[in-house]
Amino acid sequence: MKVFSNRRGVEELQLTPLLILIFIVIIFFFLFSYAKSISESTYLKRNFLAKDIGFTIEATKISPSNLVIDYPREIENAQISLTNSNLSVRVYDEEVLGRPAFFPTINLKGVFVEDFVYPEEQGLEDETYGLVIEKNQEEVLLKTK
Amino acid sequence: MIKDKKAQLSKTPLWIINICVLAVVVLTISMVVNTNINRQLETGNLKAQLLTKRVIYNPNCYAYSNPDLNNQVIVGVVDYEKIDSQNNLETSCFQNGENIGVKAVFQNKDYYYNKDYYDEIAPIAFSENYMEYEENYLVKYVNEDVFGFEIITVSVVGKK
Repeated sequence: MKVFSNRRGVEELQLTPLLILIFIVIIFFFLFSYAKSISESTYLKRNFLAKDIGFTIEATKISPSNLVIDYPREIENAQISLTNSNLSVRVYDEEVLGRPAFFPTINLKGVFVEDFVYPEEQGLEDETYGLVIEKNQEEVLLKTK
Repeated sequence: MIKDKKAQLSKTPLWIINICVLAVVVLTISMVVNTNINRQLETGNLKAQLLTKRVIYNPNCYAYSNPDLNNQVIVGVVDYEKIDSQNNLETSCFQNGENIGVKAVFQNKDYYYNKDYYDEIAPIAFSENYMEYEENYLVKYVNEDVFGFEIITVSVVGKK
């Protein structure tokens, strides 16, 4: 970098404002692309849904009696999956299922959790559906409506 | 600009300094944004609160169910037998809870679910990565058809 090692510093002084300008442009480019990637990311949506549905399921286990909860939010563009140990939510990103968000559930012994996955196959990514959470003495299950 | 003894410009290239500054700025901004996104999803100790209430209100745990009324649960009444002789926290209240520890104190006696985990995590549960919740309940208890009132303290610690 010969121009920067000039002993008298003349060329360096002339180039400094230009370098600062280039760095400002780089920073702004990064900021805009970073903001765009966050706005297009499904991270917030999948984590919100996993926590919201997960907490609703956990709340049903407090109830001493049988319970049916009509989940008040329509699920759109997402796959919900419930197993014995966790709930996972994956959101379609350009027709491909993205990474899952998990909510580990703590079960009641002797209360069976029925496995649930919806939608099971690709191609239903535009579908909007409702969820029903049901808990009775023997089992906890999810249904679509 | 750093100058040496002869007041000449240092040979440290300016672009190295600029790139370092840029890297610090980029890392700081991404850290601030990520922290704020995660704060939007922060639920604090909500899960621990739900688990605490389960101990008192669910018949699989301590809630009293009356056999004369088709096992109907009487809310706010706990079954002494379930607490003392069966330790329902271990036997029927929680399953697959490797990442939680529960402690109930009733009549100066301690009852646990995952005791080792509870003892390990309770001292460090103030950390952001863990949840911690403790609540006292005034409950009516049934001990061989005799009713009494007592305070039961339930604490839950675990991973968020």
